[in-house]
Amino acid sequence: MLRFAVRRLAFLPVAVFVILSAAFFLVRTLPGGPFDRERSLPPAVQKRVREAYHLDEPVWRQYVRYLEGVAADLDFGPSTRYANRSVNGLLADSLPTSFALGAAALAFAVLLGAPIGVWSAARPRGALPLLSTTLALVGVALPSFVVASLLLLLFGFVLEWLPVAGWGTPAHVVLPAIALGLPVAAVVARLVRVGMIDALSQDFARTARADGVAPSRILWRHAFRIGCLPAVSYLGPAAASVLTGSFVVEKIFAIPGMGAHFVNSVLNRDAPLLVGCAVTYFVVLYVMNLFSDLVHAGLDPRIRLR
Amino acid sequence: MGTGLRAGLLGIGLFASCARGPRADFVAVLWTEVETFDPAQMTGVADGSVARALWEGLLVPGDRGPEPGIAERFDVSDDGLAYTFHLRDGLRFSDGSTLDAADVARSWARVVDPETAANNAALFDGIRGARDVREGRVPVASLGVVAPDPRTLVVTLETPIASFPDRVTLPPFYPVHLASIASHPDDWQQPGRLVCNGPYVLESWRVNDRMRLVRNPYFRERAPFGRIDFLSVESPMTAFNLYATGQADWLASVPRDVIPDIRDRPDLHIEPYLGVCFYRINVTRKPFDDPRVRRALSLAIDRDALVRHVTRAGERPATSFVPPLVPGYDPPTTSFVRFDPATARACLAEARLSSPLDVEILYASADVNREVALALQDQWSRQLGARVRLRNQEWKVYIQSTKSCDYDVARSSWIADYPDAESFLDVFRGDDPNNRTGWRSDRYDALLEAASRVRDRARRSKLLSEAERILLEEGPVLPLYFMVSTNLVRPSIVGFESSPMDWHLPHRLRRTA
Repeated sequence: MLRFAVRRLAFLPVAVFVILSAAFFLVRTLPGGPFDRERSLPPAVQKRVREAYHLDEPVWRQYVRYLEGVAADLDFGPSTRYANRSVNGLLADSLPTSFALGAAALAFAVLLGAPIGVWSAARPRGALPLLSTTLALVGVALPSFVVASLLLLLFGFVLEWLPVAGWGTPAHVVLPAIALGLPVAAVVARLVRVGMIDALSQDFARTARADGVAPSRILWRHAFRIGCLPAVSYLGPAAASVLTGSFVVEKIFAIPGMGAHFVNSVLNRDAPLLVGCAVTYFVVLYVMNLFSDLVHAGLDPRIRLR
Repeated sequence: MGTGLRAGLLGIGLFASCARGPRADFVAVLWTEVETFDPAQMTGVADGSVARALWEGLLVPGDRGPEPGIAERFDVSDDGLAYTFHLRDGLRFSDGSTLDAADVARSWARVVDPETAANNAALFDGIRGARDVREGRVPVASLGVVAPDPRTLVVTLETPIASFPDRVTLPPFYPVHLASIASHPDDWQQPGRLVCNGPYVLESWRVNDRMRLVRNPYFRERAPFGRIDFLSVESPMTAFNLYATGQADWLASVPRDVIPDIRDRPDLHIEPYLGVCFYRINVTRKPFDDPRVRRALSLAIDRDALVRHVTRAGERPATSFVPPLVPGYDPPTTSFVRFDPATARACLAEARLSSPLDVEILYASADVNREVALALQDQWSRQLGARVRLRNQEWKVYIQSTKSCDYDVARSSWIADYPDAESFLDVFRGDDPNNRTGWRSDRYDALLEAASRVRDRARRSKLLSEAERILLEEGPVLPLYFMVSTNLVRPSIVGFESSPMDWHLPHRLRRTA
């Protein structure tokens, strides 16, 4: 298993190189440049600014220069949108925020979704399966901005329990974490339910029941290890996207996370920031997928990683 | 294991990102993030709002024109060409170092120096030698700004500029701390490093979150609030929510959608603003090269309906290109910027088009732009029988399209740099990069040139007005409406004054008990 992890991680730099190159060239195919505004810059200024960011050089030279910076000190260069700010600084500011919010959202999603999934599989008739299906439908069908607006209305304006926007105290985390976590919770509940129904119908569960093992022990100790596997596979990539921020949720709650950079770097044609975002997202995705594979192997004795 | 790790991550993450200092005494909400703290480069509205808390120029904007800033008074020579500013005694930068007239002179020289490549260098045009310096023809030393003694700054102009005191209030005219720029050329704008001379200094800045400003102990008077926060909140409704729930004291722009519902509230300030919304017309395309077609389009616009039903924030229908708010300037009255469908049809008939009029409206993606375009689509097709198509583009693509004249008519707006008609009219000089219509009139250019050289104010105003008449009657613009500034200010805050440029000085605001 260790060899598997090391081999996968060794491949990471190659994959990062591919992603970085793709992002670098794709953003340059967009019409318009970082310094195009309603009010034109005087030509002399335009020229100086382009020189300062090396945009006057041929693209391959810019590419080599950029690769050198990244390879030598993981330096993603200066942002073209924010004067005097480096991409590394911007990401260092925003990534912890998105991580904190994403972690809270994931915790909410797992703590809500998994028990609903398990219980609704354990009692196939009754209110719980209905609740599970409803949660799954609502969570998947309602876009996060609708959920966010409803939460704001209820907890921010009617009950006045929680702040409507901003970042800084634990109270600020609650509403955005729910808005961000609800769709994930819905999918987790559905996947856990399906996985558990499957696991409970297998031989080992029947044997355990015949042996007189307590039902709750069968459920959580034996069946859940297998039943949660579909959800674990899903949570790898889902965690990556939740942890690196959501543009919509961050915008509604005015959260200084990374989600805004993903979209705004494209709108501002801020190539260095866009590449930095793409690479960061990719690394998190890669690591989360690896993590999810390892958890898989740890939970299911039938899986051998090579 | 998974949950344990997650809980750990959650704890660390929350701890790392939630750490924030004590609550601010005053919280302002801006819609956009500041781009730069370098006064030589700032062009954005948000940048200016924060800069007015960090710096103080020779003069500061007041509700009735410029007021003393670091200069306690100024004299103008009889010919209007020499301005002598007398600085206050004991001025200091926020690091405690002294600030004298030579610092101001050097700061100005820095902006016009072509090495600096300042966005705002052209605002110095009119000062003797400024244009030649910034275009690299003569050395920086020939700029007509000298400091004969530490408290006197003498500025020599090429022609009398009535709006010069207004210009001096703008950010590029602020004194900057050249020593710190020289020692940290790449990060002198960072919180903790930025040296300024205004009522506040920058303590921290997290992009897309907040700028925390604290009182500058070296400022000549004690600022009323110890700490102020500027939040940058991209979503207009979120910004409004923050204000509505008491988390902000000043909202520097109110979302359009809520204005009709809160119009009567005393904390809502809607004021005329020196900005105009208009459509550019591409005169390099047929049939828009024919002024009669352009007049027909203008006469077929029901601007009253536009501001009443579409924009709805109290905007005024445009009757000219320059808003009627510039002191000492009367925009021309013309028979073409009004709603007259019959004359519109007559103009169009005169043009004898071989095929029915076909217009494509280009606009940058935004709700208000789309709604205005829809209204005009309806009006032009009803009044002129035109076939009108809409094309929306993402912002940067739209800028490209207008720059390369790839459009029929394009939605545009212009906000004055300083309260002067030339700040609007210069846009349509034949060689101005902002023109973007293909239109060029030698008479128009000559009138603007003459106005920039004439010494008599009334005559200058007349020349500018004559130029604007040409622009409206023959030119490439369809003025739509004059903008308004919208501010929400908590009733407990006093000292908020209206201003046609929407400039407000945060240290003039106070909280009543």
